[in-house]
Amino acid sequence: MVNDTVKGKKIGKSAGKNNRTFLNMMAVQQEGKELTEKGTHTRDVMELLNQPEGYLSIKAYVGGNPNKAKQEEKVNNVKAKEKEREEDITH
Amino acid sequence: MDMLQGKHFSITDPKGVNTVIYQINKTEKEFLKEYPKYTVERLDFIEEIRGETTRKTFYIDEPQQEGNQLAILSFGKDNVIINVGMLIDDEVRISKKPTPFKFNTLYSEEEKEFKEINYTPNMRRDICVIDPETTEELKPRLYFDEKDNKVKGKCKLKPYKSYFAFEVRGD
Repeated sequence: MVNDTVKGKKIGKSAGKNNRTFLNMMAVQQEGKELTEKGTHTRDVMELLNQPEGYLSIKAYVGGNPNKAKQEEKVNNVKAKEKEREEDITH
Repeated sequence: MDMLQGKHFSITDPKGVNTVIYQINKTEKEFLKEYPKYTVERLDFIEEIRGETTRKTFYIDEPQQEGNQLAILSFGKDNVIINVGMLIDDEVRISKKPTPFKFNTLYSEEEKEFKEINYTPNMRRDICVIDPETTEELKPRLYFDEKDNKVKGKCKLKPYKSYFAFEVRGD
């Protein structure tokens, strides 16, 4: 799996309803010294979502990941302290 | 700030089922030479055990106006149910036609020792390999092969056991 960030920058944004994507699924198994694919299925994501039977709906709420917010706060605190220390040295 | 921008939704896993969700990301033009057109990113979640079921709350950091495409994988004892969904405004739409995928050799008794095998990720294909028992992603250890003058990967797998893999491709 490739990293989704390069030097801290995300390489992409979420695909939306105008993007035609296909999900390729397979089982993989160790054979000799290599990993081998076994049986592949492909499904069209938007076609599945636009079935005449409709879709199931789950309510989504506003509010991001609280753990991520805490992590970002910690990083920001560390950066602020480093900046303070640098300022102390220069004064 | 992220707390206000992000969105979350909850699902409930019955006993013996472990669901993970990936957001499908479209690569920005500046990275297309080196990376695949689409990549996947596993959503963070918190879980709460309620009797024999588990309620999971998944977080989407950057909801998009055009929607956020999702791949939903529910791992059972010897199969995985693959579904797709989309976050649009204040709802997650989930297809009524999931695809069941059965593993024939998931719990083999033949051999249980992990063995190291060659697995070099292809940077042009974002293939995500998952251990269906733990739902953890397989992350190969990368090394530089001086003989072939290129980066290669190795990872430890149980022989005769099937792992689930998927990738997202464009048309």
